[in-house]
Amino acid sequence: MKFESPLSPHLQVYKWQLSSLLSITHRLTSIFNFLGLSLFALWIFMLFMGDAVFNYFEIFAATFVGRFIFIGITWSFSYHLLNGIRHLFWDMGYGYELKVANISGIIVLCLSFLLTLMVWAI
Amino acid sequence: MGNLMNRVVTKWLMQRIAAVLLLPLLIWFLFNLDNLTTYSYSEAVMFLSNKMNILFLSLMFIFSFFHMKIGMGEIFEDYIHDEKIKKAANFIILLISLAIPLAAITAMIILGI
Repeated sequence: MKFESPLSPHLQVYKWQLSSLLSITHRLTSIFNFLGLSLFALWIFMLFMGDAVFNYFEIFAATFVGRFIFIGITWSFSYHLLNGIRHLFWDMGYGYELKVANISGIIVLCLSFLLTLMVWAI
Repeated sequence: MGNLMNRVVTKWLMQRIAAVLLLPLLIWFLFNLDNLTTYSYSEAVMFLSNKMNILFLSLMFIFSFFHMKIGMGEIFEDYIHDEKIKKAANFIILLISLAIPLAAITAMIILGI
C-alpha cells in the first residue's frame, strides 16, 4: 500500500485567529530568515572579493532601506527563535491549553519586539 | 510504511536538535549584527581573523540550513500535491542547503588565514 500523508487544510477556509496567525507567521519568518542568512552569505562573499566589492555593501548598509532590512530580519529571527521555543514546549507536551497557548503567543510576540529593540538600541 | 514513519520521526527529531543548538548561536549572532552591518572592510576581516567567530558562524550556517532543509520538506509535504514537483523542490532545497554553507565556510576560512 502506498502511504499518503494527509495534506494540510488550506488557509483560506479558516477564520483568522491569534493561534493561526502566529503559526503562519512562524512559516513566513522561516523564509525571511533564509533570505537573511543568504544575505549574510553574500556579505561574506563580498568581503572575500575584496575592498572594492565590499564597499558596495557598506554603501547599501548605510541607507534607510538597508537599515530597514537588517532590523526586519532581526525581528524575523527573534520571532522564529522565540516561537520555536514555544514549539519545543508543545513537542514535550506542555502548553496546549487554549488559554496558555494564547498567552504564550502574546508573550512571544512582545518579546520578539523587545529582543529586536535590545539588539539595535543597546 | 513502518520504515517511512521511522524516517519521518528521525527527521522530526533532527530538526528539533538543530533548533536547540541554534538557540545560543543565533542569540550570539543577533547581538553581533549591529556591529557586523556597520563594519568597514578591515574591521570585517579582523572579525573573521578570530577563529571562534569563524567556528560559531560555520556552525550557525550548518545547523540553520540543515534545519531549513527539513522544515521546507515539511512545508512541501503540506502544500505540494504532485510527487514529481515535490521531489524537484526538495532537491533544489538540498542543493541550496549544501552550497550556501559550503561556500560561506570556505570563504571565511580563506579570509581568516
